[in-house]
Amino acid sequence: MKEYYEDDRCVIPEEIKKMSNEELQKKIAQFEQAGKTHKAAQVPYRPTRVTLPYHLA
Amino acid sequence: MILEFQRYGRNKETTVDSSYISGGEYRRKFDSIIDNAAVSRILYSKAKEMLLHRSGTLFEDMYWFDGASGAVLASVLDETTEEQIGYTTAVARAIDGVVNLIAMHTHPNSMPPSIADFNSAFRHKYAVSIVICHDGSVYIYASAQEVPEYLYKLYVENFLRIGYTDKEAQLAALDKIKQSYDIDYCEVR
Repeated sequence: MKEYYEDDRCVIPEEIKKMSNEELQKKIAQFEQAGKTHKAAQVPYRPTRVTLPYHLA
Repeated sequence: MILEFQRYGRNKETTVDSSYISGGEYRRKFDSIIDNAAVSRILYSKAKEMLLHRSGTLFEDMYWFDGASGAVLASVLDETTEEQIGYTTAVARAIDGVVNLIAMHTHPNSMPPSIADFNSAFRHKYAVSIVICHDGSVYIYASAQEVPEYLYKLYVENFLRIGYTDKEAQLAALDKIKQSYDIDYCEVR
């Protein structure tokens, strides 16, 4: 029985497609600001870096 | 065989070059992913198996491995919905609490890891995740936090408007997300 699906398709919602360039930039700026606040609030900050070869702990 | 081709609408765009994935260049990509020869051999073997199984279709396969031993913990090889992987109760049970978990799945359209892939990697605490594309490209990625899917799509739309292709737009959007969120990815060369 399937619990849920991970969808790999990148479907852009109509509401985003309909945005003017100005609206799009404004929305991006809002999310970026919220992201910075969220990142700053993370304690402790645990950076993720993918390097090759990958060394498992 | 012909019937199977017709049923699943096999197409050239998602057909795998079996000579390339059987060759040294492709195998060496897996050698460079992990510093454990036995595990990298298993990853390569399963990657080849999945690509040949799904060649010419939009269906995806997925495996979960113990990163220390390479043991297969779970797999989904019978997905019937295109470009998605369904997590079953059995899969969730098999990977729950496993340390050093490696997840590897196919991307028929040869796109980089999706934002759903990153969020899934974070939620399931994958040590590292691998996307193997039907065109022979391989990506590894990791995530230490949830990323807003909506922001990712805003970025993609933004890049599409300035003339990027779908793939370029998705890669550029991931690079923008990396600046603000704790994710990382790279293409294995």
